[in-house]
Amino acid sequence: MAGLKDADDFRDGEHFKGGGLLKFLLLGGGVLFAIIFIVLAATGGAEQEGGYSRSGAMAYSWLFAIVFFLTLSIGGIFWTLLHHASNSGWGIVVRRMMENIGTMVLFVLILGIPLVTVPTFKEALWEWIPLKAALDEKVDARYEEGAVAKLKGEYEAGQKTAQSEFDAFKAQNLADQAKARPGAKMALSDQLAKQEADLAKVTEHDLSEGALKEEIAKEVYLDHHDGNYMLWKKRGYLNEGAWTFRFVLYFIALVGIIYALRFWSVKNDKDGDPKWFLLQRKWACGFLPFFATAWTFLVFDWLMALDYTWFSTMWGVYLFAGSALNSMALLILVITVLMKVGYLKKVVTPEHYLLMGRLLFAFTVFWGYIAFSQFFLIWYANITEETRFYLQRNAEFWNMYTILALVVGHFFIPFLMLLIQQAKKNLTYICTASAWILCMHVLDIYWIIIPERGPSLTDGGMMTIPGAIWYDVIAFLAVGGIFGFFFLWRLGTASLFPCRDPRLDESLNVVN
Amino acid sequence: MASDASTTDQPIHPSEAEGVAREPLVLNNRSMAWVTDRICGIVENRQPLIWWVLFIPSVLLAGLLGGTLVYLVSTGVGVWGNNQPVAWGWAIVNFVFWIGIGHAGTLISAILFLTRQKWRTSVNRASEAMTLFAVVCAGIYPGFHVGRFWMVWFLAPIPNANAIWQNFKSPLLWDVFAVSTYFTVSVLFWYVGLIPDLATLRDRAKAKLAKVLYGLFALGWRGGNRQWRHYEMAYLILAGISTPLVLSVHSVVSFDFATSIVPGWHTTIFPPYFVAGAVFGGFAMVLTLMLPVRKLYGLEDMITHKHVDNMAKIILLTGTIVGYAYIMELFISYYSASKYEGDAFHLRILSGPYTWAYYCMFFCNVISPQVFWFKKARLNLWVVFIVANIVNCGMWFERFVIIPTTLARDFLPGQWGYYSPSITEKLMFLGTFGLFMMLFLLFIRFLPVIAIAEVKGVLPENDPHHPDWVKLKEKRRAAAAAE
Repeated sequence: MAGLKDADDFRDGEHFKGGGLLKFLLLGGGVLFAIIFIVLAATGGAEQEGGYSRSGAMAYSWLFAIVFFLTLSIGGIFWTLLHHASNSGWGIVVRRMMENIGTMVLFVLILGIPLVTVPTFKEALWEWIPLKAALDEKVDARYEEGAVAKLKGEYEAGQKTAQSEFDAFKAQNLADQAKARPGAKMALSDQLAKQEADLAKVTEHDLSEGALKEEIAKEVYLDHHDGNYMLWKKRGYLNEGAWTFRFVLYFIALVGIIYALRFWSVKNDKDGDPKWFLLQRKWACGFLPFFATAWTFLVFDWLMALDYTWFSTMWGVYLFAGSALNSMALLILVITVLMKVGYLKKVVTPEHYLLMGRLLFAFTVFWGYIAFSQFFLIWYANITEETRFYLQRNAEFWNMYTILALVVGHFFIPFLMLLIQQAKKNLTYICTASAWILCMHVLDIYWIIIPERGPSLTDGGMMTIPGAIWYDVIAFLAVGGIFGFFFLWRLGTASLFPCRDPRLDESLNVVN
Repeated sequence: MASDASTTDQPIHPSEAEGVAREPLVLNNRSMAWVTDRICGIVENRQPLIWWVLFIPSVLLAGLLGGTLVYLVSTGVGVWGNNQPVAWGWAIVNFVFWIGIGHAGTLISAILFLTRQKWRTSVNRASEAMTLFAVVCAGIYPGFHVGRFWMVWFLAPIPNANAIWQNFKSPLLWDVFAVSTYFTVSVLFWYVGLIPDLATLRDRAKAKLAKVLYGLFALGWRGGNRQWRHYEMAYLILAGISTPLVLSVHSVVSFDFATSIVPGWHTTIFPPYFVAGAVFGGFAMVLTLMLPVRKLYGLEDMITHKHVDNMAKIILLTGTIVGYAYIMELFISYYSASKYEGDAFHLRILSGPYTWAYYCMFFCNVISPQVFWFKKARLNLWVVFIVANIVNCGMWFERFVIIPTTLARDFLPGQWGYYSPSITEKLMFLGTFGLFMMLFLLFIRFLPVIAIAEVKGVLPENDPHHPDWVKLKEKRRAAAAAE
C-alpha cells in the first residue's frame, strides 16, 4: 500500500494552540466596536431630517452584520448535516471545521437577541410591529371606553326588539293561518319558519367577551382611514408574542442540532467507537427537516418581514443557497490559513480542495439559478403585490449595485473562475475565488437589508441615508471580531479533524 | 486513550464495522466474465414468456395511440375535452408528467456521474433509455396539439412563406428549445455510453446481421487506450453539458405556469419545486421498471439492495422537498393576505370541486414516501415497489391539481367550469403507456440493459487501492486450488 496514508498514524489528531494575540486583538477590536456601536445607538434617538433616527438606522446595520455571520454558520450546519446524510467519506478531514463554523450559530444568535428585544431596534426594523402596536392601542382604548359593554348592550337591545317583533309576527301569522285556505296556510307557515331562522341568527349571536372584543378589534383594523387590512389578515403569524416565541424555537433547533452533532463527533475522537459515527449519521437525517423549517421561517421573520407586505415562496431557498455557498468559501479559507501556519498539512490534500472547489462551483450556479428565478418570475408577472421588493432595488443607485454586485460579481465572475477544473487544486487561486465570493455575499446581504432602511422611492429620489454606511462598517467589525474570537477559541477545544472517525482512511486517501 | 485501543483487538479506525463499511456494488465476488455473460445473455438468449406477455399488449396499446392520433388529426383537436375555461387539460398534464419522468435518467447519468456516485453504474443505462422513451411520449402532446402535425415545424423559429415569427417572450417557445435540446443531449449521452457495450455485443454475436448492425453502431470500437481516453473525455463533457439541462428543462416547464398571473400558478418557488418533483417522479418510474427487470433476468447481484436503498432515499428526500414546496405555497397564500392567492388555495384544499385530487396528491407525494425513513421498508422490495407506484400516481395528480383545477376556478365566478377528459384523451394517455412499455421492452431485447463496461469499473479488481483486494485474491486462489 505504498503511497497510501494510514489513518492510524493520525489517531491523536492535531490540536490548535496559540493564536493568543490574534484572539486578543479580535476580541478587543470586536468589543471596542461594539461599545462604539452601543454608545452611538443609545444616544441617537433624536429624529433626523428625512424622518429617521440614528438608532433606527443603526438597527439595520446590526441586522446586516448578524445575518451575514449567521448565514456562514447556517452553512456550516448544512454541510455537516449533508456530509452525514449523504453517507459521504471524502470530507471527514474537513468535517470538524464545518462543525466549528456551524457552532458559531450560538454566539451569533446571542448577539442577535437585541434585535428582537430592544424596542428601538425592532420597531425601526419591522414596520409591522409599531403599526400593529398603534392599532392594538386603539383597540385597547376602545375596550377602556367600555366598548365591549356598549356593544353587548346594543346586541342585547337588538335581540330584545327582534324577539318582540317576532312574537307579534308569530301571533298574527298563527291567527292568519287559522283562517287561511290550505295553500295559503303553507306559504304562511313557511314565512314563519323563515322569520324564526332569522331570529335565531340574531339571538344566537356570540355575546361572549372574547367574541365581542374580536369584533371591535376587527372594526378598528379594517377602518378605511387608519386601519390595516394586511395586519388583520396576518395577525395569527405577525404578532409579537408568536414572533418572539418562534425566535426561541429557531434558537433551540439550530443550536441544538449542531451542538448535538459536534458533541458526538468529539466523543468519537476519544474512544473511536463507531456508535458515535452511527449516531451522527442517523440523527443528521432526522435533523434535516427541522433545520430547513427553522431556517426558512427565521428568514421569513427577520428578512422577508422587513416589508410585511411583500412575499415570495422562494425566499427560504434563496437565503439557504447563499449560506451554503459562502460557508464553503469560508471553509476553504480557514483550512488554507491553518495549513499556512502549519496545521493539517499531512491531512488535507489538493484532492480535498478540488472537491470543495466543485461544491463551491455547484452552489455558485445554484445561487444564480435561485436568484434569477425569483427575480425573473416577479419581473415577468409584474403584479403590484410582489414587485415592490425589486422596484426598490432596480432603481437609481441600487440598480447599478444589483447589476454589478449580484449579477456580475456574485455570479458571472466566480462562475468563470471556478469553471477551470485544475485551478481548483491551486490554493492561491481557489482562495482568491473564495474570498471574492465571501465579499460578494456581504454585498448580497447588504442588498437584502439596507434598501429597506433608505427613505422610500418616492422621497425625493434619495435611496440611501448619507453616512449610514459607517454604522454598517462598525457593526460588521463588532460582530466579525467577536465571531472571529469565538471561532479561534472553538478551534482549540478539540482536534482539528475527527481523528478517530472510522472512515478517516477513506478521506485521507480520497482521489477523484 | 489512543494507546488503550491499540492494545486491544479493536481496530483504531473500525472502517469495517457494521454501518461504516462500504457495501460492495456487485455481490458474490462476481468476475468480469460473469458480468459480461449475464448482461449479454439477456440479449442473446430467448426472452422469457413474460416478455411476450407484456410486449403484445404494449404493442396493441401503442397501436391504440396511433389510432387516437389519426382520429385527432382527421377530426380536429376538438376531440379533446379541454375548452374554456379549462383550456389546458390532460394533454399538458400528461406532457408534464412524462417530461418529469424523463428527469431521473439525466440525474443518474450526469449529476451522479459528476459527484462520483459509483452505484449509478447498474441503473444508469436503463434510466437513460427510460428518459428518452418518456420524452418521446411527452413530445406527442405538444406536437399533436397543433392539430396538423405536419405543420409542427412552425413551432421552431424557421423563416417561412407565411411570415410567421415566434413569440420569443413566450415560455411555450422556450419549452420547444428546452425539450428538444434535452432530448438531443440525452440521446447523445446514452449513445456514447453504449458504444463499448455495443462492441462487446458485436464481438459475441453469432448471427451475421446482428454482427453487422452492432458493428455498425459500435463505430469501430476496439477498446484501445486512446479510444478509452477520448471516450471518457467525451463522456465527462456530455455529463457537464447535461447537468444544467436537468435544471433547465423542468424550470422552463414550470415557467409555462409561473410566469402567468394566475393564482396557484404564479409563485416563485415553482422552478426548483418542479425540478425536485421531476427527479422524484423519475426515480419512482426507474424503480417501477427496474425491480421487475432485476428479478426477471437475475440481476440481483448487480442491482443490489444497496441500489434500491439509495433510490428509496432519493425518493424520500425529493418527496419531502416537494412537501416543503406545497407547504410554502399554502403558507404564503395565507401570509400574503392576497385575496386571490387565498381564494385559489381555499378552493384547492377546502371548497373547490377538485379537493379530492389535492388530497390524493398530498398523500401520494408527501405522506407515502415517509415510510422510507425506516430501513425495513427500504429493504422490502414489495414496499418499495408499491410506494414507487403510489408516487407515480401522485406526480400525475400533482400536475392535474396545478393545471385543470386552477383553471376551472378563474377570476370570474361566471366563468367557472368543470373539466372532464374525453374518451380520446383517456385512450391517448393509455396509449402512451403502451408506447413507453413497448420501447422499453424492445430496449431490453436488443441492447445491454446494464452498462457492462461501467459495472466492471466498480468491481474490486479495478481498484488497486481497494482494501478488499488482497483478501479477495487469497479467497479466489484458495477456491481455485480446491477445485
